[in-house]
Amino acid sequence: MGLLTDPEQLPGDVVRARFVSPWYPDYALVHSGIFVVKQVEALRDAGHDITVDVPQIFPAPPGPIPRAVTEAMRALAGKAPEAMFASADGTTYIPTPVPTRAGHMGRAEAMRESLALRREIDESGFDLIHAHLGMPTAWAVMETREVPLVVTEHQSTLGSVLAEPAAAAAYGDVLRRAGAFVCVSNHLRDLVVETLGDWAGERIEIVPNIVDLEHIPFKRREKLDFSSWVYVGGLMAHKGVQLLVRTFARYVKDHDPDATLTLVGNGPLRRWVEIFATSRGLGDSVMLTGSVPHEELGAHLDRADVMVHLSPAETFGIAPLEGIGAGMPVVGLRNFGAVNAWGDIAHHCGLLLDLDSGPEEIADAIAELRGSPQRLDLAEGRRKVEERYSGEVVAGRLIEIYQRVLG
Amino acid sequence: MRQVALISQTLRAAHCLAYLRPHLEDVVVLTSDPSAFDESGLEGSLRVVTVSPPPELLPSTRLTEGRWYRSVLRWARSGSGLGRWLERTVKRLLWRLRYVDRIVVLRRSTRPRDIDPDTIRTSAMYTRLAEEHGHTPIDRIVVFDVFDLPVALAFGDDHGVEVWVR
Repeated sequence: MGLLTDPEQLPGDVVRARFVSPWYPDYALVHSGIFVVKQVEALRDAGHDITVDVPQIFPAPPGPIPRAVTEAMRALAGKAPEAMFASADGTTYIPTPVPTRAGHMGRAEAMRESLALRREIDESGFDLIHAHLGMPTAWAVMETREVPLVVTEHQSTLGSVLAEPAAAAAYGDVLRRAGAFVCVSNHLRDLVVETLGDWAGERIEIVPNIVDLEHIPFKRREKLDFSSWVYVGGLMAHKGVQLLVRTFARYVKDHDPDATLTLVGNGPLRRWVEIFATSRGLGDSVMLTGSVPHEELGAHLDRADVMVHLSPAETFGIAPLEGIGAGMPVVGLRNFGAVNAWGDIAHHCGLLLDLDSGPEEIADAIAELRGSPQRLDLAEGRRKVEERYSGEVVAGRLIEIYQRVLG
Repeated sequence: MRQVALISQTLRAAHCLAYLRPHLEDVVVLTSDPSAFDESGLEGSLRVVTVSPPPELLPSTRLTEGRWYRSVLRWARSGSGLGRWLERTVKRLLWRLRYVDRIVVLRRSTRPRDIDPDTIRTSAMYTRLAEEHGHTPIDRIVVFDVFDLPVALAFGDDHGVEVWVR
């Protein structure tokens, strides 16, 4: 639906919210912050008026940003805002120079400066701000706007933010002053409570990310032979990609020489995967698709009969839930996100293995599951994912929060 | 439309390339580190011009540029067993120095930079923009490193050229 910008035309129960998120797709990072996009789309679909501000990080050398630069930014913003702030479809990108080694607090201060500049030329109205990430975003925006604030926390590096004393103190300030504070998983809430104390837990509510199954049809797999593996996500070390490829090599050697692995996604480990697969004679068994639009993900999942996702740490973990939604068993590690999001239905949907499991152990566990797939109830898995994580459900929770905050 | 992209420090080279990809017919990139565009897949269609004082030589280049290096190699290739060993050792040393090169390049990209407003109009970037504009008029300057914005704005004001930050 289109954006509603004239307050006179808005029905009384329509919320005008301004999202502020450093994670959002732009012309170069087309998959950045998809979970924020899903919230925006779900809220717009429900008839609400959502605009988005994206502080866009411009890495700068260490030390303060020279006055000549800040003055030039101010001059251009005043003279030609559209030249300074790119915008499209209700989204505005705000250049934010962040000095190298500025730390979390320095990053937040840089964001505060750029958001303050944006505010000077922003004439649009909104009822509340929904900031994604307590630090740096919520703190930066709280210092520049005086409307009710809702915060969603979903960063996997929250531990490092809270380990910096000044950033932790600022985080506590955000938590005290926000109208509502949401974490996407219990794990994140526990981290905040551990640092700030029990009072923090009372102010935090849990609203999960949206798992969008619109383009991911459920496929009833008559026969599960676990020979077509799929992984969806960044090709990065912290996603457990090396363990996955080593596990696959082990599985091919010990259990199924015809198995294939398709990796959907891109990242710095792409070259490593190619070299490893070739060196093990798996060049034809390992396929790399690169990044694909979400609309095309369903086709890749349709061709697979097991998703293997061995990330040791996730704050939420959308990809395994999409695998469950597509009707395939999912094999993962018992990370916080997985335990929180689908731990209670893992028995129906696949396997959750101990975090210290090695390639041989995981390959054997998959082979064992192949021998007894009757315990799986994949249709129930899909139903649970829809019931908990659909756009309608999550948007409904957010609207309740917005209305409560707006009184 | 003739566009010139300014990106002295190349940490946002991926953004620059993604932005320019649809507009390659009439684009010039002005940068201090053209190597960031070496593996862009756009070689041949993207004109990248080096601007700024020439950087100090990298450790491995400093070694191979010296006259003694050529003398040693000439002697080592005279046919003796010792010469063969010496050449291999020097090549191994160079291989290791290339790791040091990488660290030096990274450090250079994060070195503090100050901007003196009084020298903006005499800077290498401004001069190069003037040369490009004199050759074929520039319609738009697109800035990918905000530290280039003061020069771009000064040039834009002086010559009536539009300036964007992306």
